[in-house]
Amino acid sequence: MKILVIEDEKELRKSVITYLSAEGYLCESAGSSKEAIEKIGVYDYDCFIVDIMLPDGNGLDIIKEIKAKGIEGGVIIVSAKNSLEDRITGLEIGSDDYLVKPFHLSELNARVKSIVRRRNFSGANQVVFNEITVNIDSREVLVNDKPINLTGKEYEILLYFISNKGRVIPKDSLAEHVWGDYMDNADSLDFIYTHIKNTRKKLIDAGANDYIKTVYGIGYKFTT
Amino acid sequence: MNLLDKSTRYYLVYSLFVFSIGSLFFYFSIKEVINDGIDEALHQEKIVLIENLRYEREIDSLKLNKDFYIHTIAGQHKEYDRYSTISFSQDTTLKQTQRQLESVFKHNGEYYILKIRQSLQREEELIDSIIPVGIVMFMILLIGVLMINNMISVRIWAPFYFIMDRLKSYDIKTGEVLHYEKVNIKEFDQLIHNLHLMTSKIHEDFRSQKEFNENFSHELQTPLAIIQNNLENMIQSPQLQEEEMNQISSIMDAVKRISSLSKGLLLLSQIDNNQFPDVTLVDIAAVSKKLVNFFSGIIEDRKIVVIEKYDGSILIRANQALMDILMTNIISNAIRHNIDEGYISIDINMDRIVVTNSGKPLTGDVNTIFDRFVKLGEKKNSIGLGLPIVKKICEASYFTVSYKNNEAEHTITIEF
Repeated sequence: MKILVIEDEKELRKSVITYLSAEGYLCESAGSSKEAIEKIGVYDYDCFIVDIMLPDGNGLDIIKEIKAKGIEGGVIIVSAKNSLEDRITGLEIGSDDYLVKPFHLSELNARVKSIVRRRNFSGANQVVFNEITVNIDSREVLVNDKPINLTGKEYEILLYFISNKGRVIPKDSLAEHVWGDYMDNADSLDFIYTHIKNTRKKLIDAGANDYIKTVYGIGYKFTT
Repeated sequence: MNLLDKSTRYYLVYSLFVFSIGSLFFYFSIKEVINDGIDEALHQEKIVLIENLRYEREIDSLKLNKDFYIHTIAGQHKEYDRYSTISFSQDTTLKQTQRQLESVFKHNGEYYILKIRQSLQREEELIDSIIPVGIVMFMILLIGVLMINNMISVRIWAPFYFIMDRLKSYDIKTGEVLHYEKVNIKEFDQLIHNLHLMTSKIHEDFRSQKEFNENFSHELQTPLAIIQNNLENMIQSPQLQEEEMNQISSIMDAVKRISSLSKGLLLLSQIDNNQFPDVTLVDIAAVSKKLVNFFSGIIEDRKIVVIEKYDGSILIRANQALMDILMTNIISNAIRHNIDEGYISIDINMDRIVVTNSGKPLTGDVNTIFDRFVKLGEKKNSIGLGLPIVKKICEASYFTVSYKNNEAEHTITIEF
């Protein structure tokens, strides 16, 4: 799995690469539009993380270039602007996702995983973690091959945990993932706690191990 | 009092002054001229009389009428002519004024005294008619001035009132600059020119301020992303102690607050800048149902009873994204400020949305509830932009929003 991170901000690039490398991805970076186009021409990548605003060009043009070359890899746009227009244009020219800065690395990771899954699945599109099986298409969760009944949000939480298994997930990251933007901070944190509590209880009741751990003051961790 | 009334008032006071003084002056000078004329006539009469004395022996034959008096006087006298105005009453009602020449003269060695009188009645009538004529002229002038002023106000001042109207409806947000063609009146052209310059400047300042707000908001996101992402990498380390985790947690909360603040302010300015222009028919009842379902987990967990009352599908003309944000803010507020085992009532019909929830009494000034950064509840983490956003959306959608509280019951009403 090879990922190209196209981002002009060096510190941001570094932190993204650090996080994704720990997931076992092979990451390369490009700090400018020119460098990105050069690398695309020489190497193969499975996924591109593209900042829209680059000093020497627009990220959208790079995506057009990627698509014009017939490269199969998934594309995630990263932008400081929460612009509906850019979002639509991005999707139209073939990008898979759109993330607004500041984003959580756990969120980026989950999105990369989702794209990789979508592109690579053969037959059943499912995520298996020990005794837990998640069927992506049917949004069904099995524990020891027995289906358990999760609400939409509980399902989202579980999938997010499994995508970021073994990592400490900040509580804000989970809250934003489940509730999206435009939600007051205090609300989302209060609300997320309830959902995690319920998810955890349902999993344990169904006979799964207690994977969801609270990390003091910071968030949660889906232990492996 | 408008400008024209003010200047008219000065004109009229001055005209009144000129007319009164003028009429008095006129009155006295006419009187003077008339008296001179009469005196001249009396003098002529005297000359004729003296001529006649040569032929007439008897003085009595000269007494032709009662306004005429002559007789001889004995002794030496000084000759003189004295003109005077005398008045006397023939009866109690009618007062007569006459001009009299009293003359002492010497003729053929004899001294005579002569009194000739002439009635002033007709002359007085003439003089008396000057005053009504003056008044009538003043009235005509008054009417004329008022009419001319009216005309001036309609014609000449028209551009001024036009500019006033334009200024009244001037909206800084639309970024429109005042334009108006020249009217060939120097003052107005100058006014128009200056207003044009001023509004251009205001518009330019407003635009750059707006641009600055947006750019600032966007530029802020990258450093925030760097902090947030590095923290997220940091917390993956297994060597972290509780103390360090606490510190990281505080930093994360602070970063999150800055990020929410800038997003909230950006949203407010985007609504202000009319960046949600698409208006469609939005089913507000459907939005509400969707949200209640969205929040069902937390609602059940806190054992809050939700009473929904929808008058079928409620279609209103508005922007879909804004309506989603509006309802999300209102319903999440109703949940957040609720108490466990409390209730929420959502009542929507074609005219209004009423959301009522149980909760704790508010501390602080309820009138400021829609102001930015005002936090009246107990929740500390709130950034205080939820209700301001609700208000802004209502303004942009031409709704009215109001808040009412009754001890532990809070009601938000939005009227379409």
